Amino acid sequence: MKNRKSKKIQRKPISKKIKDTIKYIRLHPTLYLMLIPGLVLLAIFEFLPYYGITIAFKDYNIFAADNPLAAIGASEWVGFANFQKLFGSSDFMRVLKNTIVINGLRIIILFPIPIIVAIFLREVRSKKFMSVTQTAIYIPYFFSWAVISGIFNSLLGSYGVVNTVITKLGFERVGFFQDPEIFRGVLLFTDGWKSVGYNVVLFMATLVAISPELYEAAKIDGANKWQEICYITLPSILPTIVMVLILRVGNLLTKGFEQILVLYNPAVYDSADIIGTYVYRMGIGQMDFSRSAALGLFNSVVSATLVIGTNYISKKLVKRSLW
Amino acid sequence: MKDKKMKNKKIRSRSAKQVSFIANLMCIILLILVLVPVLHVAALAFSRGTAQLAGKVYLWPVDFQIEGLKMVMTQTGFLRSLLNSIYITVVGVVISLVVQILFAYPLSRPKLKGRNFLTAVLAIAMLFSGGLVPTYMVINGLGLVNTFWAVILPGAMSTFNMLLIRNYFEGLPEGVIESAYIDGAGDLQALFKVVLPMSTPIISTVSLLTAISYWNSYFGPSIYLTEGDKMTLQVFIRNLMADTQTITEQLERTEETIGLLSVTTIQSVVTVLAAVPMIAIYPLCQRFLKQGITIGSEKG
Repeated sequence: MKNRKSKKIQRKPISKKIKDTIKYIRLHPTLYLMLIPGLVLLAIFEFLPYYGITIAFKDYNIFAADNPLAAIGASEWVGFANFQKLFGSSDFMRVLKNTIVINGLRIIILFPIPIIVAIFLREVRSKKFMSVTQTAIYIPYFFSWAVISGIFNSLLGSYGVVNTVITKLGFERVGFFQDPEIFRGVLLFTDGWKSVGYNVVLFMATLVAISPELYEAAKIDGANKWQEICYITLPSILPTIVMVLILRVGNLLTKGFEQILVLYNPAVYDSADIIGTYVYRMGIGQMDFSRSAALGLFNSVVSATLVIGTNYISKKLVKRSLW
Repeated sequence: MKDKKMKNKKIRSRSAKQVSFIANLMCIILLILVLVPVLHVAALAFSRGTAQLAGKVYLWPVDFQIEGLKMVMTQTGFLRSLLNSIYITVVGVVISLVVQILFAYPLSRPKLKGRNFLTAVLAIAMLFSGGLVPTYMVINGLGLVNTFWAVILPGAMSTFNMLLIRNYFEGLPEGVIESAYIDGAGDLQALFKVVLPMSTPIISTVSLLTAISYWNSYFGPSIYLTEGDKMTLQVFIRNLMADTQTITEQLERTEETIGLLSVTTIQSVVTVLAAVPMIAIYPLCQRFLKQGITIGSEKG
């Protein structure tokens, strides 16, 4: 069947195809007009920047012309010099390592939490208590990072309530926002605080779809609660788990930009600067456009590869993919 | 045989108790972790500054005051930034919806010619980002810096949200749309009179997602809206956290507030005020976004 179909398509001459297309466009001109606003926006804000990427291979001089865009064309080509300088710098290794460590920890520590929470939330006997908990933990997802920085500033600041309690207990004040190692913990905790509830809802959506008959059958076979969790609940949500995990790996280099930008300060640049924040500070802060565009290009290429790769694995493994 | 059954039953009830105990305990811990920070910052916002400095405030206001609230409302850039954020969010949602719906409809038509080309364009846009610096140059080069368009337009054609809408359109009964065409409707009529009225769930979900992302966005407004009167709420809060100097000076200028308000009080008031709209629309979020998640996961 499939074979025949493909043959049919092959047999159709190209001129006929073009004729069909023209006929369709004549019949539905409005459909194509509707696409214009979206295409224009994509062209300006997605594709025009691709032209700007060329400054990664140039010695960009913003004053080479009277407009930053025109200056791109007027600047001199330097080949891979920016990349050589970049890959040789200690800053590059530092931010790459920070990005992988921080976002890797996000996956290792934060990824399993909502799964465990969702599984146990399903087992709460009182439906009311369950929905109250689910509702409450979902709220922080809607707070901006600026609001969350306000909340945790008053909580974890040098004279915040946590430090008040710590000193009352007779310990030294902790510099949550100043100590390089502890600050990474703050990043993980605030990320968890914001996103666990959302992910719980995501996993709960698959959990409620599990057929109750499975649990009935298990009960008749004499399975206990733990066995139910291990042999019914977990396997049922495994495809969702794999899919979400793979998406996370795809975002390894880009996650956490706005969070870190809002929460960090010069005291913790060493341990918390990731590729995104470094590109921002170097590019827009210090106007080192060419080198930061080179790093941005490196980031985009590796990220796109990661997304395509993980999507391919997802397709093979759980037969689900983004496209 | 009977013995074994009894034993099984016993294990079953014991395991059920264990699981239910852990589940309840977990809920209590989660509730504490989520609610305590929120309650604490709210308590600070309405406590006397000296009580805060002495570390006496936990989850309830100590020496209640609302001077902080009054001061933030009247003597800072708060209201200005609030209005800016509302403007950006409202205009942003309207433009995004129009652009995305208009794009999603042709893409959902089964016989559309040129679909492969459009899919390729979208895939490239989703996969490969131009990056921060080149995007900055484009927006700067177009002269959009310090206009609200710089933060409204770049995100308006969100490919992800547009695909959510298209997926929903594709799931609608084709017969109904087809018969509208047979009755002589044009493409616009079919979209607005037939397709859209059937699509309220996805439209509300996407509006809400879009509104939240405009409202909460920090990075764009922080680099493109640098003039004081263009500042958005999120940038205002973040600046208040980073630059305590200005508040300190302002507090010292007004005599009656000395001791009554501290830097932390003011910061807390602003945090609370910024969180309130999100909590207010939260019931809506819960209803529509769950839908969004299910729609997304079905198609994903």
